Amino acid sequence: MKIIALFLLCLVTACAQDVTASLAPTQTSSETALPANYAYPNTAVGGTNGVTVRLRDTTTVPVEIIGVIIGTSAGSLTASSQFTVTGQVVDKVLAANTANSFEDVTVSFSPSATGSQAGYLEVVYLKQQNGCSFTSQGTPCTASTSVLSALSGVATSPALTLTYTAAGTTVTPQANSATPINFGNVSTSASAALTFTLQNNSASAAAVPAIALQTAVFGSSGFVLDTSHVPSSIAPGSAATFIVTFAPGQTGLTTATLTVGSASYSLTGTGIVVATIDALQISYYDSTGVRTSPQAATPISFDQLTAGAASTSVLTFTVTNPSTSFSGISVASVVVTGSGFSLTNAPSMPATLAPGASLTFKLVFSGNSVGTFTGTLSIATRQFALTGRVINSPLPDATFVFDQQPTASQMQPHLTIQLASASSIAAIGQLAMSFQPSVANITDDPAVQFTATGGRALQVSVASGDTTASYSGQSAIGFQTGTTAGTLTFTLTFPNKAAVTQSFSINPVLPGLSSITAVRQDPYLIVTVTGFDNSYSVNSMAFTFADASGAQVNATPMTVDVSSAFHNYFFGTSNTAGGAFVVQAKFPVTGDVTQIGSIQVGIRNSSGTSTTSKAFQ
Amino acid sequence: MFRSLLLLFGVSGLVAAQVQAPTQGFLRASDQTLRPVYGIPGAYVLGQPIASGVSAAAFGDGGGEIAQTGQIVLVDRYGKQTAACPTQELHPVLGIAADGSGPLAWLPSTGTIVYWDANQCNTVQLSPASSGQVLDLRRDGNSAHLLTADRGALLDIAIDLASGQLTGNSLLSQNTASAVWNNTALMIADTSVEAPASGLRFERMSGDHWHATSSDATRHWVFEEDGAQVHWFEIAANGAPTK
Repeated sequence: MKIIALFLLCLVTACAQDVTASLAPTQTSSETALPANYAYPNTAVGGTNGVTVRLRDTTTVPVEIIGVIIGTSAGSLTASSQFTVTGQVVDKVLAANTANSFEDVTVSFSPSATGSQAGYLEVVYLKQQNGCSFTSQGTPCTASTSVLSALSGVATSPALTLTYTAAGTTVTPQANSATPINFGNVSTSASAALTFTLQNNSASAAAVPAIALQTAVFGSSGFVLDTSHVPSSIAPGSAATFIVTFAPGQTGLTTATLTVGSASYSLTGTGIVVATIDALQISYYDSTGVRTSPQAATPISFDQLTAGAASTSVLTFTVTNPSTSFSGISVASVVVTGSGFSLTNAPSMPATLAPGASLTFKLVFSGNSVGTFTGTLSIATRQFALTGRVINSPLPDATFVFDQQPTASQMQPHLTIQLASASSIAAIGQLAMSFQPSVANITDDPAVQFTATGGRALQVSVASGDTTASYSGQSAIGFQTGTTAGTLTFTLTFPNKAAVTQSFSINPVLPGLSSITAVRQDPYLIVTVTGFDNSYSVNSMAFTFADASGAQVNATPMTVDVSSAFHNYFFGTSNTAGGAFVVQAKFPVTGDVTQIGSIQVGIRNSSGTSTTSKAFQ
Repeated sequence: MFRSLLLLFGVSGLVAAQVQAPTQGFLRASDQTLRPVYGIPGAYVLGQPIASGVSAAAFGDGGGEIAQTGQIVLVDRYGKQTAACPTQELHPVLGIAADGSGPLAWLPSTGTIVYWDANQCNTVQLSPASSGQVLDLRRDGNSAHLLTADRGALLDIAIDLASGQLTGNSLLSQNTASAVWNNTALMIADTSVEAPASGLRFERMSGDHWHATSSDATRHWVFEEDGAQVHWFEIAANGAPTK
């Protein structure tokens, strides 16, 4: 606190200035002296016009600025209500006659009434001279007041004026006033609306400032703003209207703030019970457990869904008769209207809720086409708007591209998950392969698998910018078709995206013979054939021997019924290789085994016979 | 002149005993388990593990050799242990012939070869010590041939198993990253044989099948030798199969 021993007044014209004022330099102008009379441009009531004033110490001793005010008269310390000073630094000390020692303040003309306005820019300061002190130590310096400039300005009527009509009376609300616009007591089953009018009083078109509603509770307010009829500008002499509606969904006081440009207006209203139904407390939980008490003015919004994902958004509602109620409340009905919305788990209606009792039900949004959906929830006469939205997934559609069509057994094709375009997002999905044998009593083929893991499911990923999905950095994903006839199905799933599925049929075929060995182990000939039978139906084998010169030894093929042997293998518990088999035939030979040169083996199944031959080693 | 043949297939039950799941040998999966490989090329099914903690494996048709912590083990054609030889080597290289004979092990940390006479293991230390990386080895009588990569060159280094002395050193190829002895001639990956990836590591699965692993051990192949041709097939050898 400054101890002021003497108070001196120095008017601009009366004595040399210890503190001078100038207009601070800008990007387009240098620092210039503030004239003794400074006139502001005409300024509309409610508007503001400001300049930056630079204060300097022109003495030979330090000066401390105690305050800068706009007095109502020269030398008066009563501040004018039409001018403001901002940006002051508390007890700023200026060095004597130093170029870089100054204080900048913003002096603004902010009229609240029309007509000519005047004020006096004054600075109150201490001057460190004759050993006086700026602090409480020693002799305090004497405070002085200098009038730096006489300010003036003409306040004009605002271009736009805001009014509303209540009970047939036109009211001009005061901007930034502590007194709110009161919508009064309104039943929770009803609503009250005020129509606001923006009037252009000027001779030229006026741009409409931003009109918005600030609510105290994010996402659910008893107030709603309708500016659908407000144009971007209003013609001279014309007006535009907007409506604020108070529709309480709950009892009690509700507040909000209406902003029109820089002006703000407090709103208030109270939800009350008129009919007994109004007393019901209504709330809902979403899927994350967040609880909301809905207001009739704010649509109840469901989770955004993605088209094709077959997902739903569910809200669980609780309707409670407060325990403080005197009697039960009858709920005649609970009804949901609007495409995409449905009601589940609703109790039988009508229902009577005793004080403290509740009923619950679920609202389900399941829109499956892109767009915005609206509906209404009616709990007897209590109504709440509903809204839901369905969007397209940002992940492009995917298709399977195969380097070979997997339509035969014993194949190792590769598939690529091709996106319709470069993805704008990263995503993780799953590629799954399933197999349904067509062989009776066979449930699976272990050889049907992805070669990367031996399994039938892979996590695939897409990075932003990718045109294919990949597994472990590989876009070509290998798999085996196995050795059993049946249907092979690939399914690709990404979150919030319809699944992509493609199936292939692997038909029964002739036995596939991979290798044959023929060995002489005197006195035996041993023939081993490896291959597959995807129909698990091998029934006979035929053997034809040739001598060392190639001449056939047996006139007709030696045919053997092997149906039982193969059936026991294919359908036995020890089969670990699907339709793949190795069969060994051992022939005792009387005589010189080296005379037998080669063998031809035929293996027959339900589709026909395959043959292979080998020279004996 | 026709010879008479008596076909045993006419005996009931005999054929049934002779139809079974084909096996392509044994391989060491990425989870360090030894597993049989069932099925046929292009339709492999990896069986359940029959040994764990396996750091190397080599199998011929008649049996194989595996390295586990603290030992080199001989196993029969069914994977059953028949002999063991203690060693502290962490990264042995195993070699075996197509029929499962002549199992050898190279212990790089000590420059030692392990060789077997019947089920008795013997060791011999190379003198002088060998530089370079041994990729594969095979036995030829009383000699071992080490297929060695040394500063980009591929060498056949012959060692006398009794003394450990160098008896031969032949330049086989230059600029070779990986190679393996096959049944008929030297097989060099990346050059003479078109491989699906570079820097492959090979381990013999059976007489005419090899298991190839990528350098980061994430991808696996089986290649089979069919006369002069080589066929590559992918195989899931990362661990336990899942459905």
